[in-house]
Amino acid sequence: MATDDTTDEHQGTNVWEDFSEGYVPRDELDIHPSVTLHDETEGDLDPITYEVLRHRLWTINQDHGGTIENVSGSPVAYYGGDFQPAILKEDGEVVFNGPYVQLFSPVAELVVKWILENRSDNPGIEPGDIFLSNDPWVGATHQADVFFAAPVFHEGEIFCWLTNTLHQYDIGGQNAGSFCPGADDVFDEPVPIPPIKAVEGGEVREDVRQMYLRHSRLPNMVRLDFNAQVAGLQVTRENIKGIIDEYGAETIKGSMDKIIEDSESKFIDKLEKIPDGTWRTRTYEEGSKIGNDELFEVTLQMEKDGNNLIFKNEGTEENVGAINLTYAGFRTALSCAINPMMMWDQLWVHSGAYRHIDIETQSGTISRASHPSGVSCGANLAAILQISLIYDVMTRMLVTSDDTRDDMILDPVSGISVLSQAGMDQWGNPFGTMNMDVMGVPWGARSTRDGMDVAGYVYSPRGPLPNVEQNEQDYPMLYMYRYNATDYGGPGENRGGSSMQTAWKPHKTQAIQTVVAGSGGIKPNTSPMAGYPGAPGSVRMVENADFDSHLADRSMPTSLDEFDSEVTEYHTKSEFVQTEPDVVETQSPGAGGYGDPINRDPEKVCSDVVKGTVSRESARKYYGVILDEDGDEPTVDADATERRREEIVENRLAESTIPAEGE
Amino acid sequence: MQIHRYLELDAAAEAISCTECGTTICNAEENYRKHSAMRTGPITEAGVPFVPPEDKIGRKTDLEFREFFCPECAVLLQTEFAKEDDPIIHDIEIDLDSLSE
Ligand SMILES: [Zn+2]
Repeated sequence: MATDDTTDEHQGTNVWEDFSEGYVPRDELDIHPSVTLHDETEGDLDPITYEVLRHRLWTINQDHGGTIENVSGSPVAYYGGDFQPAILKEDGEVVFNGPYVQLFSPVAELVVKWILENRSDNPGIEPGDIFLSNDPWVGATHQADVFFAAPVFHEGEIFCWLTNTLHQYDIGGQNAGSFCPGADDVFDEPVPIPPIKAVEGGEVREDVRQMYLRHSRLPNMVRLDFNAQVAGLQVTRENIKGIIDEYGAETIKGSMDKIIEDSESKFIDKLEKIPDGTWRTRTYEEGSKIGNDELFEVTLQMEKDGNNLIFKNEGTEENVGAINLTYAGFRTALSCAINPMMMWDQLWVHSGAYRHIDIETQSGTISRASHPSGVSCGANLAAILQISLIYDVMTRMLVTSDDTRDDMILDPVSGISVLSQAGMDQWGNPFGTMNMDVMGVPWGARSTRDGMDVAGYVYSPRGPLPNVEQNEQDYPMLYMYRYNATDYGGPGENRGGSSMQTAWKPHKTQAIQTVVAGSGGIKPNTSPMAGYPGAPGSVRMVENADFDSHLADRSMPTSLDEFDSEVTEYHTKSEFVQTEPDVVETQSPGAGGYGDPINRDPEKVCSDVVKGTVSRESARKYYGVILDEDGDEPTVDADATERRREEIVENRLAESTIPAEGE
Repeated sequence: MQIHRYLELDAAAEAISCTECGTTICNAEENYRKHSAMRTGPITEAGVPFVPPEDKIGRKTDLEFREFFCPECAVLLQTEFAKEDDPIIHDIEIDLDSLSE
């Protein structure tokens, strides 16, 4: 406990500056002397023991994820994989995160370090404790992603930490679902909770739990998630203690150290093959909040200097409305590109890479927001936009080396529209959820192959897409169609992946209240590499659709055009009510192509047309492929294709000017 | 050294050239986009499903779609979206000194 003597030596951080600008840990953490960290390590592990322990730790972390899925029963966890367990070293450096949404563990590191610096004195860190936090200025992408963090003690010292994060259905704020795209600032949003002790010595603190659940429109659902998150940590803590008993603390710590060291040396190996340089990108966010139609410039620059990557955001506009991301959110967004493209051979361990990353972004901006900016759309809107920009600069860097070019994946999610839905369900109970159809996104093209169609998030490999039957079982919805849309994959020598289109109506309920929070609705947030971009997604609705007459005719609609009513398209920041006869359709964005589409094998284009992935119009306009339609199935008209491709080349030059000549 | 799908940097010659036809596009420290053949158009030129911004946000914007081609063989080097008055972005700048080290 704090005494006057120790106050002098232990200050912690300036928490009110952290709460304003975002916590950035210093190299040396200021931890109260009453807390000691276990740092004895076996430096000379035999390779077999190391591999056994490496995979044992991975499996323990996977079991942690399984516990969360099973206890919560949350479709967000089960079908979205929108959670993440992690094992961290005694000082908060991440050892493993799981194959769920990659967005969370680099922020878990910030949460743990902040707890060590600012909670080690008062209320103290003791065995059996669990802290809860969702403060984006400490460590969270947005308030709905709630972190639980538990120290694991061994002989009185903190041996390691365990964390988990789970996206909650609702923890308050002006909109059901807790994405608040209409917010002017954070005071319209869920209350950010800096790390507080929710479990003390193994006992849940009822006062803290009630305070937390009291924020939510769905306290019973959030209570289940609370129990799941605590259970995950408690089960995993016992598993960690079990392997310490089996192998000894120093051996386990030695394997943790080597896991991170290996990831560091692999990262450096890759960077050494790449020339130094600077890569830049830029996009324009449409609208600062619901009702705003201005464009806001967001930029990213990445400099590679030897073994280090330095990120800057010069030219990014000031934080505004509801579209902002804190330092923590940007830091963690990096892992979504680094893990799949650079750490795939290291079980996605990213800590070695983070030792060589400097974030020198400007404070008070859309990509490094100051309090009290609106940040509740951080994970779904602002982070996804940054991930696009990060993919853009990183793929341009990776293409320069023969050793990394084929690991490159063009931006998989160049826009997004997340739908929060709420109302009364088919049993008359209140419901609220994030519609997980948002997982129906593709991958961008690669240097060696096409992007995958409707592949799911490349940075959430364990996150499946719910079947329509699962959504219909859990929510008052009736689906009409779901398919891989035509022309959404960007044309290229290697085509970008195409994306999902789906439509539903409310079923056995009067209405579903819907909030849309997204970006990239006008144009994608990235420009792919020497190919054309994927097409932007959309959210559209037909009011009073005459679905019953379709049912009476035993015909299932396959497009909104089949209803004899006007189609309304919604902005990426909007809210509306879908009443029982209204049909909503969502289209996920497509991903970009690699290489010039007029260099694509015409047979592949023909096959895409037959599958319905590419239209005849796009085949002609972008790929320069003309089909012979005389037979049962279309075939390539080789002469007409050659002529069309020559025409494209002529038009390109005739319709262009050289910018430098006009300067 | 390949620095993009169809761009090569010759460190000795300090030049960026097209890998399809071999034409030198610019000096190594320059922005290849400014020395490419650039075609601009509405963003609906970016792909069949693209619609005018006014259909999405209810007002016109000054966003345009830019395509950059090799000035000799016309292979597609890059595309970008930008506001009409915004400068062409310098997306790739290789540190030439680091290559000679
Ligand atoms: Zn050329």
